[in-house]
Amino acid sequence: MNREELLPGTLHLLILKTLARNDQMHGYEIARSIQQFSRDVLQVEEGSLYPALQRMLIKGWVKAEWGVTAENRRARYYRLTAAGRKQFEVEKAQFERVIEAIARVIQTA
Amino acid sequence: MNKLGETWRRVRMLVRRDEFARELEEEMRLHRELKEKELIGDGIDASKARYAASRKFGNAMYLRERSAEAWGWSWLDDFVQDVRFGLRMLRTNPGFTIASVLTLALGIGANTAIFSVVNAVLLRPLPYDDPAKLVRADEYWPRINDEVVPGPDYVNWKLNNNDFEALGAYDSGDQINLTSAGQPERIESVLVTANFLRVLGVQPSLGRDFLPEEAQPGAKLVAILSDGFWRRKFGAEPQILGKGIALNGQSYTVIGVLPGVFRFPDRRTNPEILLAFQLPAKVDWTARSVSLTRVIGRLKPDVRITQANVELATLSKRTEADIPASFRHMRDGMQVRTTGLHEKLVGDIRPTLLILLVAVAIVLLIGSLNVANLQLARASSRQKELAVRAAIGAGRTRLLRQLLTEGAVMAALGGLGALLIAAGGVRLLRNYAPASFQPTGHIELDKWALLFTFSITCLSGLLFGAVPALRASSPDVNTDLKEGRVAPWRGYGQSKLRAALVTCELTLAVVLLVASGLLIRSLVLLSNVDPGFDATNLLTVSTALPESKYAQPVQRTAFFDRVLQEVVRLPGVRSAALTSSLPLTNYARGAAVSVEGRPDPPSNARPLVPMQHVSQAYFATLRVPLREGRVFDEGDFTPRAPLVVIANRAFVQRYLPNDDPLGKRIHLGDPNSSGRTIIGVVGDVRHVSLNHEAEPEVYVPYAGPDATSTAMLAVRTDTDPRSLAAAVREAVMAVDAEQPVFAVSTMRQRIADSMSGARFNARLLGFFGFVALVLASVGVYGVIAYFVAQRTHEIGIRVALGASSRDVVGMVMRQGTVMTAAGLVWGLGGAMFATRYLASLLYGIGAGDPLTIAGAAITLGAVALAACYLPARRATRVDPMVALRYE
Repeated sequence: MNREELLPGTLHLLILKTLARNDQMHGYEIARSIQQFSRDVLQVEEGSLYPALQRMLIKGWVKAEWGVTAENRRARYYRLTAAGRKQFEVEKAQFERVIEAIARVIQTA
Repeated sequence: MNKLGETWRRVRMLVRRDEFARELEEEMRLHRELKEKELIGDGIDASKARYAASRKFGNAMYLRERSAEAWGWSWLDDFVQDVRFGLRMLRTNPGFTIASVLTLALGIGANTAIFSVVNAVLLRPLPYDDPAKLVRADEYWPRINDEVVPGPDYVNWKLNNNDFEALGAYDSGDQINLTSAGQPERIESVLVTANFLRVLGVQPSLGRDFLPEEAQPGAKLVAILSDGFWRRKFGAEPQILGKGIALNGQSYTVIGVLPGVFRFPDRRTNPEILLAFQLPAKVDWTARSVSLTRVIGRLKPDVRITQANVELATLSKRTEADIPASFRHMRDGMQVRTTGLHEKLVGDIRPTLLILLVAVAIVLLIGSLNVANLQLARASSRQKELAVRAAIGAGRTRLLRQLLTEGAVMAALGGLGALLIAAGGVRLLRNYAPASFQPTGHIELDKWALLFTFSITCLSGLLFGAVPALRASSPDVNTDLKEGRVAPWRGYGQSKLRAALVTCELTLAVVLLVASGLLIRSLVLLSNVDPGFDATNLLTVSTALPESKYAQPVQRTAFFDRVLQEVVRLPGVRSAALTSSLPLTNYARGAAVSVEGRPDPPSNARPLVPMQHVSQAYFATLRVPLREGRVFDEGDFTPRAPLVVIANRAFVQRYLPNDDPLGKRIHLGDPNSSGRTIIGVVGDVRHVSLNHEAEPEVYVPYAGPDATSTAMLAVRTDTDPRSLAAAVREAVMAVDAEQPVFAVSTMRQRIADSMSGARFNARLLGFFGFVALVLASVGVYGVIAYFVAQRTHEIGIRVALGASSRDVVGMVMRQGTVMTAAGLVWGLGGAMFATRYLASLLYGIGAGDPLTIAGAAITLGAVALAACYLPARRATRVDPMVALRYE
């Protein structure tokens, strides 16, 4: 399957949105969710996912708790915090601004 | 707010490291398994699925590391790892470690100790309020070669100045008899003006300061005690306030006690009691006695010292018309000098301390160069190890960081050792420092000394880490990993560097050796000076008769006559004599002299000569040689005896050069007074100090109006003079029970004390010179040994081709000689330049003394060549077969 490069800095945005949509998810679920919603266009490399999650933990945008999956396996579930919600809005606005700018550049003949 | 939370989370993670690692591992394992299941669900074969999942996951370890990195503690991990490794490296190379750490500890420790002294004596601010504004205002009178401010001048300044907030004065220190509270005791007192303590900004810790009324003539007598005196004599009882104590037969009320940290701002005195200085309120030159004072003032803000100096000089000039003629001629050429108080108190010690500081810094430098050399040697032997590290992926920064950390570890160990050595050194210095080091407070390892140690340790850590790091952090992986020892020519550039470092060491060592040689020779010359009399077995005591009890000269003469009688009767006493001042005490009254029959210079230019009042047995007791004529006999002491005087040789040479002095008459003091006949000429005696040439002086009998109230006894004993000290004291008290004696000492002790400064300098610098010599020769040995090790191959070839032992030794020695010669040449040049700063500390030789310089050069040269010779000898035992085996 083809993998397209993620625009740098958007990973946080994707994770934040995914968690906003769902109450709590563990790492694999987050990756699957992003893959599904993007119709397989965006595949998050595990190598970037976990470092990113760590960073977000540090910054206090998410918090993590150990829980149990449907199959009775121990997993670490991530939730969005209030700060995370705020950060999502900030990053979303930023992202849209950038996209708009790029679009303008491309579309103008 | 967010930042705070972030920091908190980071710190919390730090504590839970292991748990975190485990959790992450588990998390990723789950992810991998779920991925695997997904791939199987997509139809991929089970075994392939596992492999694919793992591959997608990537390098698990790398992932873990990157995740952990996000938390920001990876540098700590690296650091700890480096430190552990560094410690292990040091442990496996004990010789290197011990040598380096010891050298560093010694060097840094010695520097810290000396720095502590410098801090205590020079750098610490004075314990007064805003000390930068305090100054000493002096009048330098060239005719009496002293700095004094007569009372009327002080009053003049005080009343008419604009530049000072306040001016206080004190008399130049005196001693009075304390007769209450136990044995009669002689204590040091100072008279101060009522505002004196306020000028300094000091308040008594108990009681109160002087009131202006108490400084008026005729006021009630009051006193302020020093803290030490209060504790010692009165058991620190607060009830002492308001009580009276008897001083010189009069009762003084105690009104206050000074704080414990107070130090009197004058090096010559540390008084135990302050009394109110009763000066007239107006400028009055005609009073019966004019006090000689010293003046301390507090400048107004924004007033500069030069400005104040000009003002005071102008004021002094203005009163000249009021000064009586006799005083005026003594005042001829007077200059007003205003100096900062701190500068006044420490200015003359500064050169000595700075020299010590430089000397010990040189020792540290030499030691550091040695350690640097050791590091270089080790670095080259670690080439392979570093190459391996680079090969498995260590970046240049990482290697640099590791080597720097190792250097830091070694420096830290050295720093710890330095603290121990510094503590010991400070204790030694505190006990053996000469009296001229008057510190402000204690000499101790205070926070500045610790800061100093810390910074030097950091600096050396950086340096010693950097030296190998720069050389070795970019290893040529290819060459270094090859089998076999270091390629012969690769270290060539490095050996040049090492030789250069050692040459530097030799240079510094030469400078230090020359300096210490000069000081040692000065000390020897000083101790061999002939003082002009026989100083062995001479007990000396001083005593002073209070005016209140001994107002008449007749009373004083009677007292001393009886004392001498008592003392001479003691067993073990050969003879005893009295004088107004002993040799080597630099205390003498002077009299203006004119020689009868010689053209009298205009009255304001009559020379002043010191005049001693002595008893009959003086010259015999001190064994001052008689050159012409006779000494005093009984007849000279009778009431109506003709006035006589004995002169010393210097006097005769100066004032009666071509005449027979015997029988000539001279006038002392008032030219109209009766003249005295010279009846004898004695040898010169050094009166001021050992390193001060003897001056012209005269002796008159201690009789009649010349019976001074202060006098010193000299007692010639058969054996150790100290054994008779108690007996002599009792003999004096037998004549007058309230009369204390003080300054009980032996002449030998006084002489030794006067040399204590020179002795201290010579010892300390001699020690440094010795250490420098040892370190430098160790450095030479190291470099030559390395040279031999590098050239083993070449030596093997030469021997195989027929070179004799002598040839081999010659080859090695040539290398060493070049290095030593270079070091000596540079060193001698440096010494010529540097030792001129020593000139003020030397006696009897100049800073360029050829004998000392030659001696230092020869010593260092010989030791260095000997250090070369040892490895040279070893080189001759190189077995060519062994040497040639490894290509």
